[in-house]
Amino acid sequence: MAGLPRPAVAPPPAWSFPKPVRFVLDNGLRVQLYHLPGQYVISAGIALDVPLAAEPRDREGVAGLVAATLDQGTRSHPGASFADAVERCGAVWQATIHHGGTQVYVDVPGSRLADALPLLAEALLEPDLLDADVARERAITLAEIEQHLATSAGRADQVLRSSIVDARYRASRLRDGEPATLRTVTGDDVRAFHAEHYGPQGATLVLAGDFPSDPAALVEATFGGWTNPAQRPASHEVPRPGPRELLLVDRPGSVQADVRMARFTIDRHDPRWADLQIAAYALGGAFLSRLNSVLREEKGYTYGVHAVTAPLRSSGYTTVSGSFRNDAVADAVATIPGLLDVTARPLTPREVDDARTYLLGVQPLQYATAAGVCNGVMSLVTAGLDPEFVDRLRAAYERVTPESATRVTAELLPPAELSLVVVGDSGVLAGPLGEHGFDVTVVRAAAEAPLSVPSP
Amino acid sequence: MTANATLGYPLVQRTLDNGLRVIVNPDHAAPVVAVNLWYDVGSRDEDPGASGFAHLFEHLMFQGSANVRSGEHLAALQAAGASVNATTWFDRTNYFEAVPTGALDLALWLESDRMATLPVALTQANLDNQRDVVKEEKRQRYDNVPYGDVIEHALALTFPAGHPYGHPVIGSMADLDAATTESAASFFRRYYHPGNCVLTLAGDIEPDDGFTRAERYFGALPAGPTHRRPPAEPLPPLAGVPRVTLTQPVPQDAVYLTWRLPARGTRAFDASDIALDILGGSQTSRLYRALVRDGGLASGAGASAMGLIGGTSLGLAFARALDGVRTGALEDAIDAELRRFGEEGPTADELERTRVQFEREWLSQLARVETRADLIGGYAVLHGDPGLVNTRIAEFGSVTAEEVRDAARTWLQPEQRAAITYRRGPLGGGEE
Repeated sequence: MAGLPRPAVAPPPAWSFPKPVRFVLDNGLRVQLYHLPGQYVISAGIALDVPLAAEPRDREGVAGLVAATLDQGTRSHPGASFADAVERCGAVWQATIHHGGTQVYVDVPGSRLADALPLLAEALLEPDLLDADVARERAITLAEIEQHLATSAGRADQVLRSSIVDARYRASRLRDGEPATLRTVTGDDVRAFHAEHYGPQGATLVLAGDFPSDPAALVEATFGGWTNPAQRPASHEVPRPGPRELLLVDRPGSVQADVRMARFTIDRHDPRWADLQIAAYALGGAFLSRLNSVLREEKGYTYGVHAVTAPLRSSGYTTVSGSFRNDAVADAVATIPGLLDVTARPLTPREVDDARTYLLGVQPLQYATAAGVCNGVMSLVTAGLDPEFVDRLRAAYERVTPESATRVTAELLPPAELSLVVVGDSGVLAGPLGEHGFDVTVVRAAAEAPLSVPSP
Repeated sequence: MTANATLGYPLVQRTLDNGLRVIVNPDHAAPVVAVNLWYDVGSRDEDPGASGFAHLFEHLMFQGSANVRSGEHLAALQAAGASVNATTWFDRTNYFEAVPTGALDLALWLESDRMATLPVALTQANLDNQRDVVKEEKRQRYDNVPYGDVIEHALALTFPAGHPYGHPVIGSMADLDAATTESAASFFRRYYHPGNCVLTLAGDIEPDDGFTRAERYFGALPAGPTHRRPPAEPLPPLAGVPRVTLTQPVPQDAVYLTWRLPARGTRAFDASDIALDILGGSQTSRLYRALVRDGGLASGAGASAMGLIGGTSLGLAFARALDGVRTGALEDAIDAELRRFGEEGPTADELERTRVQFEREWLSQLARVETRADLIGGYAVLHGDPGLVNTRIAEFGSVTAEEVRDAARTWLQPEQRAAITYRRGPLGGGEE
């Protein structure tokens, strides 16, 4: 305030990712325990080595249906009595599918861990997966997909993914499966997928929180007997990019348009990852990033515009996303490539320093809770990385220079090579986009070309 | 931990001479401090014709002050490794940043500069720009989203015309257009001063150190005008089932029902909250079982309570129809569950489940210094007692089955509802 000079910022204290206790059960299940004092809700999650690429091409969606049906009844707790038991011990249940693997997770007050962990195991080892439950979960998932695609942003993300990842790869399609294949998945398919893919091989159990007592014995007693001789080894796909496209997806009556401009890039294993993260933050992560300061704070076209890299286990893609009012869409789309052009305007030392300080500074908070640590580790494991990656990345951030970040960005995000997806009212948008030199292909709801399921 | 537990998060409070309440919650687990300012102003304080103004003003708080350039508040804190944001709601506007300890002074200096001098930097250009930004926020979150107008209709049906809760926080395009720099300056003078704010510091700082810094950066600010809202009269339950039917490009037909509930901070509100949780809070709830799991009528169904401090809260239930199911059938099924619940009340199992679930959710929120600081500030502003964060589990757990049953009978009967029905129409179509 007036009178007091602006305070200087003192350098942040040293911080590193918490160190787990690790061991491997005789059945091959890897275990990581993170004792975090003061975290009274314990997070227990298991990352299964079940990539979506393991799904049969004509039954895509089956992995999601297995995950969704796990808590619909087990041999020991049939039907709704399983969900009752989970809730009665104060736990909350979550099973999520990712292209790299499946994650099953509970949060539970520390005093009830001994009640919740056996339930987690039960659902993995002996789920009922009954026909009626599968049919209901299938109907619910189909309705959820419909709701997701009815939103402008959901549609934009889906069309972008199907365009930027080559159609030969599972990662080009919805995680839950496209409706055409999901509709055909039966209870038999679900039970067969579970029998062939769920097992301790390649799986990692992560516990984080303030443990009332050492949970190692509980883990051994709960998961030590898990075997599945039928479990197939997982093989992970290495996706390639699709051809560059400029698509305008018609959504009549939209009062603004969702814009995605993207390029197929890299994942966290790539030595350029730290450079790309710092560059993406300077270009479209910070509040006064190059993109947001012009398109939001100067022009008022949007509530916000961001540049983010979504890493797959292998490869990834970097996307500029935002929603813009109709009369500003064409100008925004024409402006974005210039704002990403680091050859014309290299990243500055100040931009790189600010990005580094931010990315290093938010990590202690991101990993301050049991849920943050458990989910963070599961995400790394699913990507084929170990938790030491966090500290390695911190060291890599320290080594990024303006020159290295500029070079990597120029290499990975050449502004003239971006794919484009616009979801909005084509009657309003097609003309101005054409006038700005974007020769877009209009995708109408009836044709839905990018949604069609190519033959295997 | 049991449902009767009282938690032990240390809280130390002091009020500066200018009226600023400061609360420190020391926690040295990580080298960060959550800084949280709750201003006692929200959309309920907006004048007629000025809907959306409290939120628009929140945006202006990031557009600079006497010693801070436009956008610099956020940029400077991010560049120090902080995460920063603000929200506006019916009963509050809160500003918060979680900072590495070395950036705490910068955060306090930035917050005090805008509390002291914001109008100096208010310009027509900044207002016009942020008005455009807020309009895009409204389109992105509400106008361009299936069912995005449900809250607007729910408030309009549940509260009388002109009631402080009768309009959505985001406001209307026409009212946003009417905002001026003069109205912003006068809004600032009325609501943005030390006595209308609670500053909470949670994290790696000791209380005495926190108070010393608060005094250094905020102590010289002048006290502002005290404003007293007229007491909010609780509204009686709705009568006559007010209803609106909308034909829109939604993916599925759907029904949303609302009720008036007691104000938050009362046992009757907690009892209503528990009733709605048992009816529709999870996949073991009665509505989910009846409509989704067993009934095969809906792809989703649920219920919840939205606590509001000003006399009357809002209860909500919804269901989305599977293909071929009429919304009337959904409403009938919900009505039947409400009626049965009012007659029988909760089972012992249901009540126990709600208690342990509340306990876990509460502990999870307190596990993060950012959400803990926000809860502390909220209970200080709305209830005058930040210590409730330590006693809420016990308080919530003491609500009896009879109180829950009585709340359902008094506040949640089918004839006390309002109804919003969505029918699926083509893209680009309008409402009936």
